[in-house]
Amino acid sequence: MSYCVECGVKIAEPQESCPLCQTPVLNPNRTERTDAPPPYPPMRRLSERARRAQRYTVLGSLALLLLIPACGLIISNLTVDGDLTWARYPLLSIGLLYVFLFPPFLIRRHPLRLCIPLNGLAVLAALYLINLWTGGAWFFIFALPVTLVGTALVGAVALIVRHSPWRLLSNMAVILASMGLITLFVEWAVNTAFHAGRPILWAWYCVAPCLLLAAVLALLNRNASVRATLRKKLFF
Amino acid sequence: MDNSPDWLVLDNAAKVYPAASNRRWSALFRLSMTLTEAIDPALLQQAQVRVAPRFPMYHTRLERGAFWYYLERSDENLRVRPEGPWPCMPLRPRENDGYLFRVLYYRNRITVEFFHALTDGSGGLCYLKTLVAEYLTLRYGADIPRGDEILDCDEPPQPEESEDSFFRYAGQAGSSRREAKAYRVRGTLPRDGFVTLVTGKMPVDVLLKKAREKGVSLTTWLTAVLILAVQELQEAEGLPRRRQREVKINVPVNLRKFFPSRTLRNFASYVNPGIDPRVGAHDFDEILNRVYHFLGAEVTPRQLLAKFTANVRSEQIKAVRIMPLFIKNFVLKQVFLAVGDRKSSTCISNLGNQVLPAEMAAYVTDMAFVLGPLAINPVACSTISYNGVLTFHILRTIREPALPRAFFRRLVELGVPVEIESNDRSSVCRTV
Repeated sequence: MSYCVECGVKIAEPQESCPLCQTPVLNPNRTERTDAPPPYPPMRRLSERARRAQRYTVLGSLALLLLIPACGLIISNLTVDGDLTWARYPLLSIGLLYVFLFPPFLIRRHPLRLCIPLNGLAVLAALYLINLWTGGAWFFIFALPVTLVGTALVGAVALIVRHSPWRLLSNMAVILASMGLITLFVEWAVNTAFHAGRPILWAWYCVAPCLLLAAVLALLNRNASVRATLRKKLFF
Repeated sequence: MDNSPDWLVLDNAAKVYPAASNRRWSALFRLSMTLTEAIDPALLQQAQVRVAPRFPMYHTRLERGAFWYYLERSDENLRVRPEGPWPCMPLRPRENDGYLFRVLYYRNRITVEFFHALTDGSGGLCYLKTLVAEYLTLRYGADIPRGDEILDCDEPPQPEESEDSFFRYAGQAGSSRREAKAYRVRGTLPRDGFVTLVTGKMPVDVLLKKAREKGVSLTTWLTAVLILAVQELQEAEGLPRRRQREVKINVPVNLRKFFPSRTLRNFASYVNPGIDPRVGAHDFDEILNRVYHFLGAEVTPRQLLAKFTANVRSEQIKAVRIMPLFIKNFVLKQVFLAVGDRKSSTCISNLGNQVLPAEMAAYVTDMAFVLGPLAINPVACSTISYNGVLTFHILRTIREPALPRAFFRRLVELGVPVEIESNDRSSVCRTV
C-alpha cells in the first residue's frame, strides 16, 4: 500500500496512479506487481476486426433496406405505365444516396480525399442524365462549371478544416467565407448561362454577411481570453 | 397468503422520475455487500427467487396509464447478472426482464441497483439485507434473525410496507419551493458516457472525534468539508465575487425518523444547506456553523411536513390529475429540470452506520452505497458506515477529478487518514 505524494491519501491496490491527481505510484519497496483484483469488472472494448465486422453488417442491412423503396418505385412504374418514366428521377436520388452514404465507411485510407471527388462525379452524372432525359441544354453551360467549382471548394475547405492546426473559430470563418464565394460564383454562372449581361445582384446579400461574420470569428479567435469565455459559455 | 394488490400507484416522490428519465439517464442508486468468499450465481438466483414474493412492490413493471404511470405486478423471474464496468449504468427495463431494479454480482460482491421510482435508500437497504441473509442461509446454513430491517421471507408482505406515506402524513399547507440557483461543477463529458467512481475509506472513530470536537453530527461535518471543497473550485474559476453563485449541498433526509412508517417505498425529503460566496470566502468553522444552524432549523418535523405537503397538494390539483400523461410528462420534466438539481451544487446522501446481526456480520466484510449520476449536476456523493469504516463515494460523469481531489485533500489536511480506490479507465479497460 502506497501514499500519493501530492494528495496524502493512501492508494488501494491495484491502482498504479493516484485517482485524484494521476501522480504515478512509485514505491521502491514494492518489487513486484500485486495481483489484487480491480474494484470493478473490466470494460469490454471491441477489437478492430470485430468493430469492422460490426460495421459491415450494419452497412449491408442499410443497403438492403434502401432497396425497398427502389423496388416499390420500379414495380409501380412498370405496372402502371409499362415503362420506367417518372420513377427514373427518385431512383437517381436513391443511387446518389448510396454514393453519399456508403463509400465513407468502406474506404479505409483517406476517405475524405476520395469521397468528395466521387460525390462530385456522382452529382455530375445525375445532372447529365436529367439533362438528357428532359432534353435540356443547361448541363455544359451551367451544371458542369458550378458542380466542379462547388466540389473543388468543398474539398479544399474539408482538407483545410481536417488538417489545419487552426482552431474551431478559424475553421468556421473559412467555411463562412467559402459559402459567400460559392454564392457569388453561382450567380455569375446563372447570369453567364441564362441572362447574358446582367450584373451580380442578389449574391451580395449573402456574400456581405458571410464575409463579415467570417471576419468577426477571425477577430474573436485572436484573443485567448475571449476564446476561453466562449468555450465555457457554449459548453454542452 | 399474499394479498398485495396487482398494481400500485407511484408514490408522490416517484412520480417525477419516469417523466424525467431518458435513454441515457435514469435516477438510480446502488447498494452492495462484499462477502468473505466468491459469490455463487446459482445460489444468488435461488435467494432472489425466495425474496421476490416478500417484496411485491419491487417486482413490478412500469406501465403507462392515460393520466399517470403505474406499477403492475410481474411474475417474471428476475435474472441475476454480472456487474458492468461502472456503477448505475442506465437501466433499460426491456433488457432487465421488465424490472426497475437489478441484482448483480462481481467476485465477492452482491449488488442491487434500484430506479428511484421504486424506493429510496432505506427500502433498498432492507431488500439487500434480506437478499444477502437468504443467500447466506442457502450457502452456509446461517441462521440469521429476522426483524424490521431483515425481513422474514416466510411471512406475507404487509399492506403498510407498500403505502404512500407522503399521503398519510401530508398536512394542509405546503411551503414554497422557491430557492436560488446554485453553483454547478463543470467539466468534459466522455463520449462513451463512462462514469468514474472514486471511493475513500476512512475510520469512523477518527471522523466522529473530529465532528464531536466541533459539537456537530458526522453528516454536518462532512457536508461542511464538501462545501469547502466546492467553494475552492468556484474560487479557482476566477469569477468576480458578485457573479459567483451560492454553494449548496443537497442532503436527503429519511422521513421515517420523524414520521413513523414501515413503508418500503420512497419516504425521504431533502434540505439544501450552503453558503453565499458573494459575501466573501468562508472558512471551515463559518461553514460548519451555517450548516449546523441550517439543519437545526430545517430538519424538523414541521418544516419537513410543509415541504412534502407542497408536493402532495400539487399532485392533487384537479387540473393536474386530468392532464393526459404525455402533457404531464413534458410539464414534470420541465419542473424537474427547473427546480431539481439546479438548486444544489452536488448531493451528499448518508445512509448512516449499519449494524448487522453477528450471524450475518461474520460473512460480510464491506458495504457500499453509491448514488447514480444526477440529471444535471455531474458529481454525486454518497456514504455509508460499516464495521468501523466510513466509505465515501464520489461519482462523476465528467473527466476532471477536481471535486474529489479537493474534498479528499481537505480531509487529509484536517487529519483524517483516507484510502482511495477508483474504477478509472486504466484499471477497467480490456480489449476483447
